[in-house]
Order: sequence, then structure tokens, then C-alpha cells
Amino acid sequence: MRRLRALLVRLGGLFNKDRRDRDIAAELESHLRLHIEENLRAGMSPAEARRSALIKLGGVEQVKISYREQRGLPALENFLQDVSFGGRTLRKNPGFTAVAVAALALGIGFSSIIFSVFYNGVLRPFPYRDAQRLTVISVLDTKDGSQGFRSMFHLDEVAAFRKGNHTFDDIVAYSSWDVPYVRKTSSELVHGCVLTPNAMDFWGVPPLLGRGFTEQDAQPGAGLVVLLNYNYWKKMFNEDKAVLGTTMMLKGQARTVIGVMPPRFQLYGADLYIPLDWNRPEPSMTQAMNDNEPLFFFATAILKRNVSLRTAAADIQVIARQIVALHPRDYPEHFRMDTKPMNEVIVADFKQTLILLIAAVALLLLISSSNVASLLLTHHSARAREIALRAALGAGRGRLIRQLFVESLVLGVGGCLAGCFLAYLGLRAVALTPGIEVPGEADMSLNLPVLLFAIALSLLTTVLFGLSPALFAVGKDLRTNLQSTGVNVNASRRGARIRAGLVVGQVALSLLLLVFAGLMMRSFIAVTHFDFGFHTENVLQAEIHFPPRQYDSAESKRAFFDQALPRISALPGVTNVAVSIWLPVTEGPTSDDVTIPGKPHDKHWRTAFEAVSEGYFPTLGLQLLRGRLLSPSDIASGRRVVVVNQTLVKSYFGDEDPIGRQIKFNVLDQIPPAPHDAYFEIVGVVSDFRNNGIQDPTIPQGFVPYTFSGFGDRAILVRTAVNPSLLLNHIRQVTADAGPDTALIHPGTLDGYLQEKVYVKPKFRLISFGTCAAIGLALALIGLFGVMAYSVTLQTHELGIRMALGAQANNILALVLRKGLLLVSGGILLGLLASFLSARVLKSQLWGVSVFDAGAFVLAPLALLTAAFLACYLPARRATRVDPLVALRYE
Amino acid sequence: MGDKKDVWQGTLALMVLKTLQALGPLHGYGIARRIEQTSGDLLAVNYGTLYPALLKLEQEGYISSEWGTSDNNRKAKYYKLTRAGRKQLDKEAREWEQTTEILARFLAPGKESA
Repeated sequence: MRRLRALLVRLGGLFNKDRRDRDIAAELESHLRLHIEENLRAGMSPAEARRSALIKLGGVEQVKISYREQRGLPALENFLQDVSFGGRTLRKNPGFTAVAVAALALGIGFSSIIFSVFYNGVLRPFPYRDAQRLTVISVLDTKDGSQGFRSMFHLDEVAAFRKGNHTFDDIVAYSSWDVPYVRKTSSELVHGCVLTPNAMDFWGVPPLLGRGFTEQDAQPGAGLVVLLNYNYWKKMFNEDKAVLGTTMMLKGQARTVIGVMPPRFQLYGADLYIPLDWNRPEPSMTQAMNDNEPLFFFATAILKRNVSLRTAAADIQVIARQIVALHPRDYPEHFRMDTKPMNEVIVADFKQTLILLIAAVALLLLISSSNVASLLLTHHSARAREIALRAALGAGRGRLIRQLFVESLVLGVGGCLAGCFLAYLGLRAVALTPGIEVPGEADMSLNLPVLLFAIALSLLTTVLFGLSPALFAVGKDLRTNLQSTGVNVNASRRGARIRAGLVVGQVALSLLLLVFAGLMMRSFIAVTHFDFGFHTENVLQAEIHFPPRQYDSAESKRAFFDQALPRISALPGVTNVAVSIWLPVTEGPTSDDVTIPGKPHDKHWRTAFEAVSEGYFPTLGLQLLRGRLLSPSDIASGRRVVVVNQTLVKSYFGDEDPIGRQIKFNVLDQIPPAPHDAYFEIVGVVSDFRNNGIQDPTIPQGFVPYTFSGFGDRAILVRTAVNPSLLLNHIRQVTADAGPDTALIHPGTLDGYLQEKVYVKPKFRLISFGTCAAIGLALALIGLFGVMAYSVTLQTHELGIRMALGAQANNILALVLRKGLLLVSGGILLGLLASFLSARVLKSQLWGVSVFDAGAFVLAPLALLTAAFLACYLPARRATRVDPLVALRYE
Repeated sequence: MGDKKDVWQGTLALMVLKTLQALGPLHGYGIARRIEQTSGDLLAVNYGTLYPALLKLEQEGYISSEWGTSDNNRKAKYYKLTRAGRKQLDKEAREWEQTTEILARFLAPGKESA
């Protein structure tokens, strides 16, 4: 307490120094007088009295100094003095200060942005109470290795896990529940989420408005309720609080709005949340399909403290073994239950990109630090005489180093502030950047952890770039600098070597970034120019949602399309129109196995399955290779025929002629409304297209008439000669006329879909790595330019002599350029070596190009060399303009 | 409280507090003279140490100061003990007595055996 009080008083002592100085002077003065008077009383002469008193008192100034030191906090005072001096020095060199602060800000800002994405988006994305212990349960098939089998469960399974486990605090089940929401004027499909009634307590996030649901709300006979997602509330109800207590007509039932969840509660990206009784009777497969009733649920659990994931998996395994009999078909022969942290499940792929980006920004930070270090070296050596003078006047070596370091600290603080501002702006843009795949709950802002990170990073870089130049500038022998006249040539030479080394390092690091960015660019080009095997341009696609029951039969669906398709193809600009079940690039339904008479097989023959109209093949531009395509009469009669792709023939028939053979898609046997034990006759073979995503090879696929069965929704594909988006409203009108209760959902173009789903990752990688590389390059060039310009300044005298002796401008230009390009080539060689050694880490992030892609490895050094040439040329040209007379006088 | 490393500072502080307790409010010169006299002129008070010590005691709140006039009408800064200072004096005096007693015991048998 006393110490604290003294500290506060001493802090106060930093202010009002003049008054306090007068005070102590007066006190010492009075002390002296009292002493003299006593001496006089003792019988001394006035002169003697004064002399003796002064001797006794000692040096008045020394007393004042030790008094002052006790009064304030000398270390702090020195520090503040250094800060204000450093600030003044920096203000006197605005160009140097601006470049140094900008370089630091870029390094710190970008690092903080990536850190925020990593920390807030990947490590701690969820606002839920026990976010770090959230665990997702899934079933693995252990027949060949461990493959994911399913991660959704029947409700009774989850209930059994919940009841029987010893390793979880609680388990929640939730699923999607897309239902029509009917309003006075319109109706639309909303993306709902059903949750078991323990969900509110499970996630531990209180609602923003109103109340959450309870066990009672899920009981049969209780009033039906609904909770709103914040974004949905904002979009649909304009943040109107009066919505509480009103009812929404969801799937023909009136549900009371009881609350609104806070902005970060984005579970499942749902628009609304609805409680579901644990004991709900399970709907049949047919009911589930026709009524869109959830049949399968995600099982998410809160791991008990101090329990390992492995223990928990073993615990669940025991229960699963007991309940296999409930749903024998939903477990593979050999299976293992798996438990994974929730955030790992969601962001596994993006994490990889992010880790590489962290490496990239670390390189960027290194470039910016060494840039500032070389700037400081130049800055300090220009002040060699000032430093020497200070040393001569009694400043100790430590004191001088401290002063120079404090100057760097001021730069560091400036860089930190500017960097945080940059990060603040950047993070606002990041939230809108496609390709940043973090959970919707994530809040990537400049929050406390990010700020602390930025501050720690600034301190670290300050030590990195500030300390060694300061140590170097205050060399061991301080006198030499004072003796030399202008710039100390020896010390500067030594400094020049360090600066050259820093430049080589910067060039090497920026080349590494350039090569990486080059690879990303090549990968992006490869993806966007990729041939999917079908037309992607001018194809409009949309799903058609059929209301339950009315359209359950194949005939009713055919009647709908028989009415709609001719009218769509009659629209001006439409060239083809087709029906399918799935969109071509989305992973459609696959049959785990197929049965082909005469072709017994042990392994599962995984085969994609699609149901289409005759227009499908011309719409996508698929080539007929053998046999015939589906005919209108096949479609009209729902004939059991199938057109297969090339891969299917190659995989299952080899060189045999597949035409006329029979094939059964085993998956149909598992879907109640689908025809069971249905064999389709192969009538034709078409060219392959990428039906399994862009990364993986095409899988065997069969196309049957869409009228083979009536269950499920359908999609339409419309190929046009004009911009397909212009036709959307007309098409919507046609489908609404043909079936007033149908809804056109997720309309878009195939190209747009590819942009959104397939190109987005390569694009994000290109942009992020490209930005790092561009900034790295710019910093390295600034560093190079600085070193060249400074070395020309140092050499002015020498160049003057050369010119006086008859050197031509070209000789001088060559001399300076050679030196600069030597540095650059050194950097490029080092950078290429580093790229060769490290390019392999990019492998998972590249598509369609080798990690040693010649384009990237040639173009990046060339680009760097060209830019570096400019950075050297400008100082070199200045060197040729040196006036020999001025140069010789220059000292 | 007391800075044990700096024994001289510590003892000086104690002497100042004791002096102020014995004589009441007193100026810096008077304190110095009193300490010198009490020590039988064995101690010479270094003013470069005295004034920082007074300041430190004041910062810690053991003494307070104000300008006043001396017996012979000179302006001088007077120091006086605060309540906290009185307590601190009691405490430090006790500690000091204890220390000297212990040290005396240590040193006494040493002499015998010599």
C-alpha cells in the first residue's frame, strides 16, 4: 500500500517540475541561512560562517539531483524523454517514417487479419457455451480402411446414445426441416431446423428476445411454437419486436413466435428453429419423402470434462452394438463409432489453406521487418556523428542503444496502430469474401485476442528490426565517428554489407511468395478452363418443388412437364430444355452397388443414377457414342431403359458390347416408393462428364427416363442463346401456370453455380496469396531501391573521381546496375532454391498443375527481375548525373 | 516496508521519525543538527541523502511538510509526524531493538571464545 502510494506520488512528481524545483531551491536556501546564523552565533566571522556552512552542505546541485531522482521516476522520465526525442527525429524525416510505418502496418495488419480468421473462424468459431467440448458422432465403415459411412441418425438412436452413455454431459439431435411458409400474399420455402427440446440448455445461448423453447413446448398437444434466426427476423420482419406472440403458417400449421435468437446463433444456417419431441413416432420412408419430414438427425454431444474422444467413441460403440437391431440396414457389416470435435468437422479443408496463408503472412512480416531494419541502418548511419557527439558528452553506450531502440519502439507503436486499422478494414472485407469457409457463427472481428496478438507481434518485430541496428550503430569505439568528417566510410561499408544481406533475403522471400502466387494462378486458370464434358454456358437450372400427395405419381409429374416443357422451349432464345433429378455437377444420388446379370462382383460397384427427359443430352451437349438416346416414347411410357456413360462401359463391360444388357440400381430397392427389383436395358452410351466433382475422376453413371417413378422433386435445365437469367421470370410464370402449387427454388445458371462452388476456393487462394506476394514484392523493391540509393550517395565521391578521370555515363550506369543486379540475382537464386524445397507443401491446394510448374517457376523470377531492374535503374541514373566538381567537394 | 538492502537509508528514516517524535515539527536543518548531536557527532548527516530521505518519507505518508517561520523569523519548511508515521516509528523501533538484541547475542559468545 505504502509503496503504491509512493509510486503514485512519484508519478505525480513528473508534473509541475518548475514549481517543485523552486521549492527545493528555497528549502536548501533556508537550510543554508539557518546554518550560517548558527555559525555566526558560535562566533565565526560572516565570511567564515558562510564558507563552513557551504562546505557542510556539500554540492547544492548534487543534492538537487538526488532529490529530483527521489521525487519522480528517473527511468520513466528518461524513457519519456527518449520517446519525445525519437518522435521529433521521426517527424524530421517524414519520408523514412512513412515508409517504415507503412511496411510495419502491412506486415502486422495482414498477420492480424489471418490470425483473426484462424482464431475466430477456425479455433473458436462457436458462441455456444461448451464450444470447445462439442463433439459430433458418426459411423465409420471399417471394411476397407476407415471410411465415413453416415453422420446422421434415427431419433431413437440418438435417444439411446443420450440415455446410455457415460462420457457426455448431454446429446442433442437436430435436422433440417424445409417447409412452406404461407403468408397473405405469397408463399415460400423456408429453411427450418428441428431440435430436440434439450437444445436450449445444450447450446447455452439465451435468446435475444422472448424465450427459448422448453420440454413442455415439444409435448404432444402443447401449443406449437417457433424461434426465429436473427438474420431471418431482420430480413422478413425488419427487426420488428412486435413479431413475438404472432403466428406463422408453416406447413399448414399455425405456430406462435416465442423468441428471436441472437445474431451469432446460426446453427445449421436455419431461418427458424422448432422443438421436436424425443418420442416422436418415426415416419416411414415414404412419409418422410413426401412430407419432407426429418428422418435422420445429426447427433452432437458435449464431452464430459477430462474425458478423451477415444473413450467417448468406445462408450458410444457399446451402445451402437446394442441398437444395431433397431436399424440393421443402417450399419455396415464392420463399423466403428467415431467422435470428432465439432469445429474440426466443419473446417478441415479450409484449415489447410489457412495454415499455408499463415506461413505466407509470416514471410510477409519477415520481409517488412527486414525492410524496416535496413531502413533503420541507413537512418542510424546518417546520424553517426550525432551519436558520436552524444557519446563524447557523456552518454553511456547503454543509454544510446536504449535511445535508438526507443525510437524503433515509437515506429513499432505507429506500425501497430496503422496495422490494427488496416486489419479492422480488412476484416470487414473478409466477412464478405467468398471462399472463407468458416461456420456462420464465427465472428471474425478485431476482438481482444486479435488486438493482443497484434501488440505482441509489434513488440516482437520491434525487437527484431530495432535492436540489431541500434547495437550496430552504437559500435564499440564511439570516438572514430567523431574523427571522420562526413559519413564514416568504414562503418558504413560494414553497414552496407548487412543491408545488402537484408535485401537479398527480402528478394528471396518475395520470390518465394511470387512463386506460390504463380502456382495458385496457374491452378485457378486450370480450373476455370476445365472441360467438364458438358456445356456450362447459358444453361439455367432450377429445382421444382412439388407439393406432397398431388404429384406423387409418375403420370402427374409427366402431365406437369408435358404442359410446361413445350411452353418453355417456345420462349424466344431457348434452344433446349430438359428434366432431371439433380444438377449435373452436384453430387447426385449414387447407388452403392449395381446388379448386372452375368457380371458377378465382390467389390461394391458405386454408380451414379440420374433420371432425365430426352432433352437432357442435347441440353448438356453430351455425345452419343453407341446405340441410341432416350426417345420421347421411352419417356412417355416410363420404359425401363437406360443410357450409360463411357466410364460405366469401361468399368463393368470392358470390351464387350453393353447394348441390350440389363442393369439394376440396387439403391432403388431401399427407397419404398421406387420400383423394386427393377432391371433397365442399356440402349445407348454417351460421352463422360465430370459427375463426381472436379477433383475426383468420373464415376460410372446411368440415365433412365424421369418417368420411371413418381417420387421426389425434379429439376429443370434450360439452354438458351441469350443471357439465361433474362428468361427466369418467364419460366417461373410457365411452371406456375402448369402447377399452381409448385415452387421454383434455387434458380441460377450452371456457370454461376460453378463460380460459387467450384471456382471459389482456387479464386480465394489466388487472391490471398496474390495479395501477399504483391505486397512482399513491393516491400522488397522499396528495400532494394533504398539500398541502391544510399550506396550511390556513399559513392558520390568515388563516382566523381571516376568521372573526372573520364568515365562515361554508361560506364557509371553499368557499374551501379551491376551491383544492384548482383544482389537481385543472389536473392532470386536463394528464392528459387527455397521454392523448390517448399513447393510440395502446396500440393493439396493445387489443382491441374504440378507443384514444379514451369510457368510459375519461370514467370515469377522474370517478373521480379523486371521490377528489380527498375528499382536499380533509378538510383543508377542519378549516379550518372553527378557533377564531378560537386562530388569532389562533397564531404 | 523498510528497504532492507539499504540499511543506512532505513536507519536514517528511523532517526528522522524519532527526532520528529521527540521534538515536534522541525525543519531539515534542525533534524540534521539533532541527529548529529544525538549521535555525539559520530554521525555526519549527508544532506544529499537527508533531503531525498525526507521526500521519500513524505511520499510514503509518514511525515508531512509545510512552510513556516523559524524562531528567528526565517522562512523554513517544517516537517511533522503523521499518524501513519507514529505507527511506523513504533514498528520500526521494535524491529530495530530486536535486531540489535539478536546481533548482540551473536557477537557476545564470539568474544568469549576468542
